[in-house]
Amino acid sequence: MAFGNLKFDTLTTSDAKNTSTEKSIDTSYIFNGVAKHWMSATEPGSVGDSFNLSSTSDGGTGLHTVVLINNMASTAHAVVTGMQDADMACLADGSRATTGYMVTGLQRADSLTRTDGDHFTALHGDLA
Amino acid sequence: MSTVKTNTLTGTTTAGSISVTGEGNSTTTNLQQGLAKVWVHMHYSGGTPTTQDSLNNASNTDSGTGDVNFNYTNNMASASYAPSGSNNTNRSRMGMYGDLYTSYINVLPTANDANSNALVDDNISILLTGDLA
Repeated sequence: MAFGNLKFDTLTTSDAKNTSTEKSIDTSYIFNGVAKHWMSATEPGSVGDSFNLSSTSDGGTGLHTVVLINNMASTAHAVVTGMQDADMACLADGSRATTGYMVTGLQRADSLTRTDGDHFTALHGDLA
Repeated sequence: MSTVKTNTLTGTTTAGSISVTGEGNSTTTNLQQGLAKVWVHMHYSGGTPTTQDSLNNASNTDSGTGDVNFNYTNNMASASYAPSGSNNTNRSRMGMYGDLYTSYINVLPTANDANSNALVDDNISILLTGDLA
């Protein structure tokens, strides 16, 4: 049976692959819990794959500005990061906006020196 | 309808694409794209990585100090996915990924010492978003 638009408050599944026990989840966990954006990118500005990404721009060595397609409701969203070669990616200070954010790459050796490299981000929070 | 009971959710127009209305009650977001495809909470015990709990993590491969692969049950579509994570102690830094593959990821927790490249066995949590194969 196919539904074009299904409205419901609770989703229940059997969790057949794990416990075969019926488990329920309030739909608020679905729309609150899914990531609203993610990106796999290489400096400067080369994006391998992404979700809800409008554009990126190179802000200089180790700085990458990210612009979303669908904006967030507020700046109180959560950006999580990762970086290849055991370098470290962080949210740039003061860069969190409803329209996007800036990520900065830091060298593994001292965690202070900005560096370009493959970096990964995901964003959780409320859509506008 | 208050409760839907099912084992599988599938899109009608595109099987792998279901829209969910966002918190602002107007914008929609893609359910499949937003779901975490892998997460792992891993501890080291006597130098051996031991998974505490996980999703879509079949096994771990210990490749040496501070060097562990997490092998997926269901592979990713490409190596262009987005891992993030944290350590569970204050012994290592967060930037800790080696190479990414469709079937596994290499994780490299780095010692929390100034001016050090040393890898360290540390308890870590990872979360991965991207496209399943």
